[in-house]
Amino acid sequence: MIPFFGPVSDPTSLLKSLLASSGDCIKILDLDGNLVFMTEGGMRIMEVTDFGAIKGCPWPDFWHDQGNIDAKAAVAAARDGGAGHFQGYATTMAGTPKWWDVHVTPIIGPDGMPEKLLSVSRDVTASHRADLALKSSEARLTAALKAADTGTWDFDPQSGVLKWDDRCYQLFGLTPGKPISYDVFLAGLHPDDRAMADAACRGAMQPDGAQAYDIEFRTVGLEDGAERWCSAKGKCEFENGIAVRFIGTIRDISKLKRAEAQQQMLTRELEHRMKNTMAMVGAIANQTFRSASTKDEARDIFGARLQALNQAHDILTRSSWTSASMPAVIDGALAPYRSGEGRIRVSGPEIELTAKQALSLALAIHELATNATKYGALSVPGGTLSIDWDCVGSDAGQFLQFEWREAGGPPVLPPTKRGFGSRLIEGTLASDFGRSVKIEFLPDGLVCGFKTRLSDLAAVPPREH
Amino acid sequence: MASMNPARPAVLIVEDEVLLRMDAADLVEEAGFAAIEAADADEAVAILEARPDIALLFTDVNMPGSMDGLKLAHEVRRRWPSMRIVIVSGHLQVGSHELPADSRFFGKPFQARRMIVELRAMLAN
Repeated sequence: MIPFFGPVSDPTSLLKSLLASSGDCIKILDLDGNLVFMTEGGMRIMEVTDFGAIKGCPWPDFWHDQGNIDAKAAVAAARDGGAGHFQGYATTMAGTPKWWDVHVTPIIGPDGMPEKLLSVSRDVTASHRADLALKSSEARLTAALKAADTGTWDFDPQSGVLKWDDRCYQLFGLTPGKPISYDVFLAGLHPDDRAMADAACRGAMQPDGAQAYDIEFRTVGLEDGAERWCSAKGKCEFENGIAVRFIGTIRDISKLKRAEAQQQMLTRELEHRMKNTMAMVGAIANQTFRSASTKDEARDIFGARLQALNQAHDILTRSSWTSASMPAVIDGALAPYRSGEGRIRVSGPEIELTAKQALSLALAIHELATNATKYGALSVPGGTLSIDWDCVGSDAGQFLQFEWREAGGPPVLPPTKRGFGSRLIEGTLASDFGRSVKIEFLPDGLVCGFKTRLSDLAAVPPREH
Repeated sequence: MASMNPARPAVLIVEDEVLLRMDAADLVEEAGFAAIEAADADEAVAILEARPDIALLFTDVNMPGSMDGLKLAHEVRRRWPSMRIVIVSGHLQVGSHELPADSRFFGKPFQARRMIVELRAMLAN
């Protein structure tokens, strides 16, 4: 007898009240697993109103599916002198859903053999739910981190133990599970970022240091050598002024960094183009105002030249300044000079020009057309202009041959003074289409032509005839 | 435009953009000097080797070819120590420590009138 229970008048009655007060459902089964007895407390928990109705029923039948299998196995184990244990789901007699933690053990008879079985079921519904909630919360966090492409790390500054999740390993180009340490972390950083990241970590782990840890660095894959831009954030926890845990996240921001670099490059490119355009406009203005004889003439010529430049810009903008179609550039530059009488004939295949060539050609065509309108074939009725270009092959390679030919105009005389127009035509064309540019003042009309190697042009689409 | 007249100093303009080169050439002529044009550094060096009458190099910085304008300026200072040098650029500010000795830098766009005054002053003696 246990001494501190004091004098016990009726041990059987004490045992009975002990069993009744237990929070567990305690049952006695026969060796076949049929219900023989259930404590009062057990009936309360199991919501049994009439034990008579279930007495003698096979206890494993109160369980379904896996629970039934587990219950039968537990009964068998106990009958063989062992112990059965399982957790499972079952409703009470009143239909309340519960999770149970069940132990089945043998009750040994006087002969030393199992005589009956003891089944103790504990209601673990509350802890089971908490467990489920925790698991689901963990799963949610994992899913969210994965979706956000975010890895986690956890460092113990006292023991030096560093833990990474798989994503974190991946960002350092290392096979998950490989041994890591603070030194491995540092080794995985880009040499140019290492000192900065080290200082930021050490600062965050000092009670009086910079507490916020929010930095960007490059990693160089420890195994794959790949460079990745990462954003790391974290916070150190302190106990009594001692850093006990430094924990945080890491995210791949390579795409963002690439976009930033692209943006910077585009801005520089745009600035470059703006400056070039300004310089060209400035040069055109200087030239125009220097040579024009009246203010009105200067204004008209300047406006028309800007218009030609603008036309070419429009064409280039449509292709994001990569290339421009030669027919489109020529048509654009000629548009202001077409009278609808069919005096201008243009013929040539599709050829892609570089941005610089497109601007030069547009300006040159504009100057040629202006000149033709003032002094050449387009200055009199019946005069004609034909523009032809083609790709011609020879032993020396593929060439683009271009010709501007006026006919039917007034008798042509070579100019006594070379004005800006003819200098611009020769200069721009020579600069972007090679030095073969020739302007000839033939008796029939002005002829301007050049021949340039096709490989010097942007691209030549396949011929379609 | 090219002149071998020693009474009229020659200025070598190095600029790859033809419009700007023509503009600079007109400015040089307006200042009273002979304008000689080159589209890149290699062409410029070839001209300098052939023409002893060139007294001033007027070069852009951003240029395609084997040398940009700054490298060209240093090369010219080394090979033709008495050459006057003007460097212009619209795209960057060039620090004085990057310039060869005894050379001038101007950001683009520059004022034509002021540039003419500068060129005349540099070539006065």
